[in-house]
Amino acid sequence: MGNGRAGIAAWAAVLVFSADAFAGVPGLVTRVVKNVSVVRPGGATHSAAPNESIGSGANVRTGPDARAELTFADSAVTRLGGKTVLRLGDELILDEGAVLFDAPRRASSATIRTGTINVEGAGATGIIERFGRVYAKVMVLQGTARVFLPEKVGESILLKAGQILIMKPDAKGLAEPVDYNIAHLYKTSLLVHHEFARLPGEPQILAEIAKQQSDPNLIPTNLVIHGRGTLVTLENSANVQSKPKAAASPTPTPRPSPRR
Amino acid sequence: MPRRFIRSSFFAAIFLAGVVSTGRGQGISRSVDRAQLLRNQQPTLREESGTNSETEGVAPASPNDPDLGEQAILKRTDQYQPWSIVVSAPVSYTSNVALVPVGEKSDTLFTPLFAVSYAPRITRSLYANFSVSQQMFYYDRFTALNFGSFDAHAGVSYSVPQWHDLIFRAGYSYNRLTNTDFNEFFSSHSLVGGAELPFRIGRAQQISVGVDTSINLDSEPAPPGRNEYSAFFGYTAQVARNLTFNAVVRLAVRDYTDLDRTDVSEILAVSATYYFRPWLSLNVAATYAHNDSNRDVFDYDVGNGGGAVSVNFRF
Repeated sequence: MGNGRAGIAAWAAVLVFSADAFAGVPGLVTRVVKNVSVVRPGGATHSAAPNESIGSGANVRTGPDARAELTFADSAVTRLGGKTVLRLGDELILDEGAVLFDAPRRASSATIRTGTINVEGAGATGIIERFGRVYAKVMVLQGTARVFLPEKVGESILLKAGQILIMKPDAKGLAEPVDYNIAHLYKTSLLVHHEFARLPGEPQILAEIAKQQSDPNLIPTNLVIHGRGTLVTLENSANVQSKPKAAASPTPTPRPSPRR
Repeated sequence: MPRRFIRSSFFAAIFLAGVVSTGRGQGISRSVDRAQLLRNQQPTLREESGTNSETEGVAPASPNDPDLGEQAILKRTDQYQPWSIVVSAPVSYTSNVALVPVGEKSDTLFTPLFAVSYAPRITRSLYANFSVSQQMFYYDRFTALNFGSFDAHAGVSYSVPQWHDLIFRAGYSYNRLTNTDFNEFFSSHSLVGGAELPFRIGRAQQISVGVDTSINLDSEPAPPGRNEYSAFFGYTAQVARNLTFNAVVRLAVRDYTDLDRTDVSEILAVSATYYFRPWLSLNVAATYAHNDSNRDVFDYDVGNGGGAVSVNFRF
């Protein structure tokens, strides 16, 4: 993270002297794990390097078992999971894959769009996933994110910590959010911990975990979604409550899920 | 909401009337009109109870599953809060204090309200409702018209999800009008009933149509006692996170049981409510009413406007 901070300072200095160089939402690459490439406007592609600045119009693509982290001038952090395509422009656009966002309250780069859905995550930490035209998923670990359809008046939800929203990427109406176990996701998500520094929003996440665990109105179920997708499986209670962190192997064996 | 979803909203359209002292029966009749018009109920906007939208297709198991982590679903139990206490301080203007056909006088009105209700859930679709309220009407210039209204109600409401969430209501109502020293000058006992059909438009809008009736069982004195039959059309929209807009058109027929008098009223009410907190709101409203009676002295037009700060505790 020391290198990251130095990189941010240098990048900020560049901004001061070349304010026109970055229109939209430029980002600084602060972590690269395996195969991460940058596609510049015009189509030129190269492997991402730490401390590389990425301007508006560029795409960041991760390979099947790769991950990356971008940090923005407003201190917002975005982490890309494997097989993810994220476009930088006036806003961040998730075309495919999964991203984790952690943004301070006044971050200008905290709006992420996927399909017809916009997520304003300033002051929140959350994960957004998209799988083609099949589904989009939004989860909040701390803070409150506003999820809305810009083309539909009134279609807006405040997604709070511990809530998950699943709908089609071209949704014409927002679905109802459901509660999920923040502590369990926090322990098992590699975007939160593995090969990454601590998130700026970690104290708030831990506070939300404590708050959720003391809420008498939330009852555990044995229903779990393992990672990506929307397939819900029935688990033993012990597995749900004390599941260890997922294996660090880059290519874990896919788990067959029993039919309900 | 808890999402965001939409709160049900009740607020009185501020409706002012006065009393013309051409006779005690007519005076009491107009007092009844004044009190009743201020209890103009808006169609309810039910809380969200929908299920998640269907998800079609699933992502195949992927080496990147651990990126996301495991989402263990939790169930949130409903904590229904049957009790409600409302304290409201409305201030309003009326264009026709006396509800007269000519020579209208205007005035400003302060009508504080205190209400308690208990609505236990009997089954998933059946609720009982018990409420009492006391509202005072203080005029700025025509202080001789000041009065108080006490209301008590006991009833049930039943919703039928299979019929587009049709809501039926039935109950008993007691109304007592007093002067500011709480000396009674009118009371009535009525059976009330109604039905309402809501149509949701997306997440933030609703149209409601419905009918209401009030059958007079007994009133003291008898002449102001009446049966009322009305139909309404309402529109509610949550235009922003804490801002709700509402409009209602109501057509009411009032048949006086002891008099040869029948009134037909058309009422239009529009209002906006801003919620500073779930329990603290500011409401501004404007209403217009046109009353036609088979006895011309009771014809009137009246326009009203004003605002109210309300505190609503639920537990």
